[in-house]
Amino acid sequence: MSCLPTPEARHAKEVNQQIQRDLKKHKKDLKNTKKLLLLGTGESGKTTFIKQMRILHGKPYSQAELDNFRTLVYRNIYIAVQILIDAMDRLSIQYEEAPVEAETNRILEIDYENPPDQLPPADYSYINKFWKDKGVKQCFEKRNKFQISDSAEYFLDALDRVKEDDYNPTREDIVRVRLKTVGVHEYNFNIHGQNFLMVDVGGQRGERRKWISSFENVQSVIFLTAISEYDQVLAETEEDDNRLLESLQLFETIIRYPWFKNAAIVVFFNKFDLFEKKILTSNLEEYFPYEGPRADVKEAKNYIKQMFSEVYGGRGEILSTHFTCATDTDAMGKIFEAVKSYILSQNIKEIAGGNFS
Amino acid sequence: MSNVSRIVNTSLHKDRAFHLLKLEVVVVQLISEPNRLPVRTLKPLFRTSPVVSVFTGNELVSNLMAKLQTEKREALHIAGQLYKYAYLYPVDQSVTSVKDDSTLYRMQSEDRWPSQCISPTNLDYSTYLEKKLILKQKLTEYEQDAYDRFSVTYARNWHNLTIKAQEEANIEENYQKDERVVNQGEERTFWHLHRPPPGEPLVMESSIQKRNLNRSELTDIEIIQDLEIRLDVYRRAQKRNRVRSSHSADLIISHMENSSNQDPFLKKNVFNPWSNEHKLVSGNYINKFQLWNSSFDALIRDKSGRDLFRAFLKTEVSTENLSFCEEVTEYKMLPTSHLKDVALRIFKQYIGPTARNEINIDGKTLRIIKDRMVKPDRYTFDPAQNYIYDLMRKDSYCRFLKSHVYTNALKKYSIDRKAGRMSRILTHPLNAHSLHNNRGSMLECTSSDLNLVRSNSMDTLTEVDSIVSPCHTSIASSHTSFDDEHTHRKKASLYRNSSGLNFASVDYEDILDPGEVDQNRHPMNKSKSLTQPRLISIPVKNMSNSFDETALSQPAAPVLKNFPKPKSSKSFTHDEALRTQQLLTK
Repeated sequence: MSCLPTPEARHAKEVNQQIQRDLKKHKKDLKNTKKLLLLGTGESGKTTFIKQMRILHGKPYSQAELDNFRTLVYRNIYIAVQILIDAMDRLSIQYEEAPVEAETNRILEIDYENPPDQLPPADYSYINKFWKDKGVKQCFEKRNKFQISDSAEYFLDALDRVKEDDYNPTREDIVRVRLKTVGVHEYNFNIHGQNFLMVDVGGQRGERRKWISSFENVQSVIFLTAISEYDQVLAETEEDDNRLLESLQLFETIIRYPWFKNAAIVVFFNKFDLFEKKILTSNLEEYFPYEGPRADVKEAKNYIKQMFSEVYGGRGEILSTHFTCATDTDAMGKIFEAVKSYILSQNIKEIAGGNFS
Repeated sequence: MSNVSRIVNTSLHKDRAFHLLKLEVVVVQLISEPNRLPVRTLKPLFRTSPVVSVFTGNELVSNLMAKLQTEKREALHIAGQLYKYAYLYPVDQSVTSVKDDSTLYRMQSEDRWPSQCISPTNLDYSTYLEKKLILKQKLTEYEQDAYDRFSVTYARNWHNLTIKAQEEANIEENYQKDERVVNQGEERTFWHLHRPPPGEPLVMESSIQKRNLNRSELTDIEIIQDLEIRLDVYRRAQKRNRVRSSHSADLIISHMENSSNQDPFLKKNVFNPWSNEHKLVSGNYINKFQLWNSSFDALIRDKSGRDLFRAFLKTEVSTENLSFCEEVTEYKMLPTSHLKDVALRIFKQYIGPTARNEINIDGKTLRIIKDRMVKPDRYTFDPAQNYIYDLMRKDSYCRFLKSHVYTNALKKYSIDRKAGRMSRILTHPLNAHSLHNNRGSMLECTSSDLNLVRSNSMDTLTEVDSIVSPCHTSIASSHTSFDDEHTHRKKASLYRNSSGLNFASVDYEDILDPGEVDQNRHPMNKSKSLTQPRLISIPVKNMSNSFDETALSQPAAPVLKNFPKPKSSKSFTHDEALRTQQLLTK
């Protein structure tokens, strides 16, 4: 027996060294990467935000992905029409010109889970006429009485473009497509030299218990709330729980978590474009103890912002907020730049504070 | 004619009841005066015992012709029907039809007519068989089978049954010899009708009993109600969405086209579980991956596919969706007595307000389920299952195809499949040497091989990368020559420039990519999750300055345990690592 290590031992030693090296590197990368959580209730625009980041900082969508989005657009349209037909019936609103019953039944029976590759002409003519009907428009105005996606109007208006044979989803179509997210998803972005690990989650009540799995090592949280939801109720329960109130309560819960004690928190008041339109017809004081003037965008938005700021007040800092429209790519790009510098400055403050104390 | 009401009121199907009724009218006519069917006792020359109360076939036919005033063909047909329903039977057991000749027949006694005893029970049959045994008569094969079966089924009642059979046997032993023969013949015929031997039609088979609607007994209101129900059924049937046959034909064709590559009967070299030439262990799993890639249904239907998908869902913290779907599928096949308990359990676990694994359904579906939970049946959870299934298909599945759980599993199997060939190339001393000392020639060697492999595999680059990982920098720079120029040039340059780890800059490709899978991606891209446990495949000296993420991104271990793999591949990697090391240390 020689005193020299056997080849096996040498091999084992090298493996060990390799692991050590990797662990070090891993730790370093972890430090360099900012983990950014996207939180918020259902349909507040978390996945939309991720899509915008991909459009701005990721690779362009491939044709196969676009094809997939096209069927999703049709799916969105069929779902919207079926919901509207159902709502017309339940709210007993009269059609201006009632469609043929057999046709209505046919549309209702269409399996939107397997939408066609092209919009069939018969479906197009039905939906087109249906959407132009004054009764349906009236019904759509009362959409806070039932659950319909916010992008329904956008796609139904775009029907003529969408039915074309060579239709290819535009950038805006892609961000408008509604698809429920389940689970917790991580995405890596490099934005101007800074690595971000963005975490997208499902927002419904049942999904929230999963969030905790990604709460460690969080440097920043973007809390999204759909500001236009002040007159809507939750989709996931039978009770009439106000969506904005739910969002506010969720926000309160989140800022109290010990994990986020040192994290930079930014609130996005999303769907601001819808809010601006909605506030003119739907009164905020019916849902919240608001005493400002009616149909005043500025007052109303400040009131809602104030609600969130008060909740946040306990932390002794000023809440960083943005009024956003997640479907507007350019605006989102600018806002995210601002958010990024805020997050970085907060983190530097954090590190500095840690050194001095 | 008291038979009429008796037959009509039985549970027999209406049409058959009238048929029997008509036949019985004929039989009664046959055996009554005037011109009664001559029944006599024959005493044949060579037989010891006389044959009692028989008639011949031509006597029967001519009598029928006379009584019914019909022609011979119809008389024969009616005689055939009488035979079929066992109103008469041939004395000789081997005769199986009524013929217009001198074959001997005997009438069945009235108490054994089919109308008298519509459906005798198996218990009666067992008694008959037991009696036969007691009387030391031989059972036929099928009777013996039935006897064995029933002796198990009625094991508890067997004692009573034997007593009853014994009594009947005693009675029969007291008969005169010719009486006994007649009785035996009648019984045999009776059970031949009700328990025919295998292969013969079950004449008295009870149909699904239709409602015997006798309109005259119903009030007007009831009739109207009945009609309204029918009308409603037809209306709903009309509303039902129908798929045009041309459309469904298209669907079938496209399905066939998609799956024809996987069909062992159409394509050779496809794993065929029925063929001995293919060993199960080295199954061609790459085809499974193709199938999973093409359809979510195929993935879910396959056990190993589901396991892989579950492993992926674990990384996304949404396994409850899959387990819910599985449990509901199982639930639907449970015996009725268990349904209620299991329904409650599923509801508690997945849907209720305090559910541990709450699934993400909308309020509308929730309401339907809650309504149905009052009285759960097999279809209670269907709306939720469809909802969740679709959610998985639309949301999780698209990401699954892009995930490293999937791509690593795919890579692993392409390696296993090709391990033999690659090991031949690499273990060749010349190749192995040039591989590590002369990168140029190594590139030539691998690129030619790559091109070769590329023609029949879709996962070549990752495969070669992981095998020749010591030289990945140069391999990476050779990527551009095989890949789509514009998408990979950037990536390749990143590899070249990367002195350290730069994974985040390329990783955005994983985002929301619902489309096709980019099979040729460098494994570097798959090192997305920072928390993923990693293994080291081929640790080599001198390589620390180059990019070593490749060596780290091995498939996640738990995913693969369900797949069989060729033994050779593991030892190959290990041997190869040692060999490489020895070469380098020289």
